[in-house]
Amino acid sequence: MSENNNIDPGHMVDEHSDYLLSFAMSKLQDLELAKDMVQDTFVSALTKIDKFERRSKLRTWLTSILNRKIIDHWRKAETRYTDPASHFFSKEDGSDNGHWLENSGNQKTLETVEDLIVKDETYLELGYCLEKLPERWRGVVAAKYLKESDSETICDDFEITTSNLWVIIHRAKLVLRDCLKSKWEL
Amino acid sequence: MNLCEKLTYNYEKSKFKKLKFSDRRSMKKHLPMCKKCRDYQTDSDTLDHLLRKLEDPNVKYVFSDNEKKLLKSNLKPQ
Repeated sequence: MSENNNIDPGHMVDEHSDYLLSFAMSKLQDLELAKDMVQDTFVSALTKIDKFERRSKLRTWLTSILNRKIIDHWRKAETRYTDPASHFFSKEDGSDNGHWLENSGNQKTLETVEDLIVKDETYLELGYCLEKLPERWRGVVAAKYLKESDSETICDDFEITTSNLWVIIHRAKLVLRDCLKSKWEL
Repeated sequence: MNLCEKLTYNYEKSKFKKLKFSDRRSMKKHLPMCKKCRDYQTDSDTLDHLLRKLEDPNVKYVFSDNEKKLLKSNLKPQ
């Protein structure tokens, strides 16, 4: 038996499950899914424990397995937004009249929303709007703003280019803005 | 990509790196004429501010004791 097989599954759960769950939640924002991912990570780790060479810490190795599973999940689950961002803007000649921006009578900016949110001391609505984003976008937005990771780290973690990062942030903001404005009927 | 789309995209990009001169010039020329793009910039900055305050950094997610027990039992060799 190799020395790697000496890892006790019970101890592994006690030591690393909460850390892995928090890591998964920083990318997924879906608690049940995150828990499933962590369980899958432990199962995978035990099936290939012989490949763990102890050059890294066990936690680092487990995190890399979890990260791979999250990326695989995104790849499978991702339904690309087919709407081009131009959907959010009218045409130059003003002929596009089907979008909320065109139809909303009172075109206030989100600063009004900010006043309301700060006044209410709640960010529930913004959290709700975040959940409407495609999973990968949500993860990128969470990494950028909630965790304030640097761009290089985000691009590495999500396996995207810097150009993709800007596109995702741009489009995610358009969706969030749309959602918040509709919530407050601006 | 229409002009508003390109300019608002460039506005996000400008938060990461300095834009090319031609892009900066194009933005400077367009913005005074386009309320939608000016509003987008305001909204974008507001979202930056709101999103940064969204999550309590102390929030930590944990498995309950029962969930950990279940996890361990699922990991036992069948």
